[in-house]
Amino acid sequence: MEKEIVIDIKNLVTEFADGSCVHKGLDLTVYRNEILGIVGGSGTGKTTLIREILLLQKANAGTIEVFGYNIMTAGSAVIQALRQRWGMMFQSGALFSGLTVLENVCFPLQQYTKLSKSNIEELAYFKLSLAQFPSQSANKLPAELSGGMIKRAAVARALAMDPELLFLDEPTAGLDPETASGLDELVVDLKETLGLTIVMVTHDLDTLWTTTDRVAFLGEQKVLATKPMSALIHDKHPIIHTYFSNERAKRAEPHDEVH
Amino acid sequence: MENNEFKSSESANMVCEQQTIFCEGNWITQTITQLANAYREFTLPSNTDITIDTNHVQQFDTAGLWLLAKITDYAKSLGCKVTISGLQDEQHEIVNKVLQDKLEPAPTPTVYPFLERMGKNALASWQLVKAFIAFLGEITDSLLNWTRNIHKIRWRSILSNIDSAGLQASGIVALLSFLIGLVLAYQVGIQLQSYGASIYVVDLLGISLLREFSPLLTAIIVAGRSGSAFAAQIGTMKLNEEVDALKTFGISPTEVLVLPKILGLTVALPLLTILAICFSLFGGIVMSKMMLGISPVDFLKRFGDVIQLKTLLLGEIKTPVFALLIAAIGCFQGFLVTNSAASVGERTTISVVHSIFMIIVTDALFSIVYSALGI
Repeated sequence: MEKEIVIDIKNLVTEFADGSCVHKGLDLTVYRNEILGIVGGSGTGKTTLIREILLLQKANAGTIEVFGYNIMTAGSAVIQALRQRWGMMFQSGALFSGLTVLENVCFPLQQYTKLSKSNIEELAYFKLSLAQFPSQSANKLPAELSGGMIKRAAVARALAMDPELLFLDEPTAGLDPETASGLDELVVDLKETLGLTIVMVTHDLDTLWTTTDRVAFLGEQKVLATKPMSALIHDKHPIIHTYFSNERAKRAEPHDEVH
Repeated sequence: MENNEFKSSESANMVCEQQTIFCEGNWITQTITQLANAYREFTLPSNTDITIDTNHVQQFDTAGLWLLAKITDYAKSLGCKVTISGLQDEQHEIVNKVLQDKLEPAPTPTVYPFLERMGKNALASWQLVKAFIAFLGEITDSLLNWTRNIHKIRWRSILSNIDSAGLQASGIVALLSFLIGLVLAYQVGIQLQSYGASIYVVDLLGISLLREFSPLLTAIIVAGRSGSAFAAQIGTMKLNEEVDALKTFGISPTEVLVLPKILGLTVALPLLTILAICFSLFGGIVMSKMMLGISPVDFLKRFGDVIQLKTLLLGEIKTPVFALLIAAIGCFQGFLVTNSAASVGERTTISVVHSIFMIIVTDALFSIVYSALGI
């Protein structure tokens, strides 16, 4: 069966204002209902790539197709509709600091639906519980939350409009191992129960091993390889080899486990 | 399911036939509004077995499944035994999750009665006054510390503040002062002309501009321009935990952030005031020439005769005090920023309002003191 393509990037070129080149002829394909990890050294343009797909930043050349629409040329009506079909969790949460967690999750629902206030609130509580955010803390302000709670609240807000496509930027960065693996489980859960397509930037090797279906490795201004984790670590490309051959990477590799 | 098309707009709907509820349409966030508001008005059979048939639903998302769970819950509350048909396993799981989630609603913040609120506000204001006095004490302490350790003084930072709050403000201060001199001379001139006492425009302009208007207006412009910038800068640093980072290094934020601003402004504001005096007098000279026919030479000659150095000094002596107030209030409000972007805006506004208020009050106090001393 042909797998449905959600994101199709061809020949992408990105240059910063100072002339430095981040992407040069980058190609990437994301299929429906998969979890794609994006890895690569610092400064290889992982976050930039996501920001370009989300139209927060413009690429210099190439095409990005999302759900079959070329977003580089699409009109504002198409883009507005697309924006309701994807959700993004920013690295530091980017929760609106003046609103409580509950209000943060309600916000997009209030903007885009005509549901009554009590329905919106109930729905928001449900999204929070999907993200395993403790409901007793829903009236707290983002500044009163711990790192793990902020990430969960950010996931709940990203899920508010029931996106088909979810972007996560460093979902487990700065979390303790227990919270981090809780978040990993959550990501897999979301993919399986809601049928989401998930694209995540991460450095966390445990996350890569336990959640992703495929991993795209960025380097030399393009995608060097897109493979399942178990195949990627045996890739012979020198940059990939160096990346995964250090001690930390070896420790994270699962031993004698049946998958 | 046509996933590649945009979600169609056909609404979610349900039809009751005896013991079966047929669901149809799209059950997604955008299309469940009507049904979500109205499902309680449907007449459902009570105390029997019913089936909810979802085979004809085109699309579900979590919001749709949440609504399905609400309807199930409603039917159960009428004493029915409910079975749902036509759902996939994962969808069933979500419906069950909604039904099982007995959410503890978050505690809502207590709203105090009017009198209690007023009392709390008054107390909070009093605390702020005390905190500001403590802040002034901290500034003095840091200043004394600098006088003991000259090498600790951050000259570069002070100079950069003189540049940003003084030099870069000179354009706007000069322009506005020129216009004020122009307008003032015009208004005064009209009155004096009718008495044939045109030349007295020099006395009036000289005294009012040197003693009152130039120091006051310059201070107000600077409060709006630099005081707000101080509050916003320190506030953002506080949000970003940069202030805490300084403290962990054992470096006093007062010394690094506040003192250079206060000292810089204390140098810049008197100089700006002199600039303002020059340009407002220039405006006065231009208008006197145009309207009253007083030549610039006559104007300056008379100015030299009637205006004493004392007048300039009485005005200038106020400006370091204004500078201290503007910088101290701006920085103090910056440190009061707490954890939200909105609070940066709020504190910045308060800093401008408070400093302008304090400038005018202080100016009035100076007038009282001057008149008591007979100068």
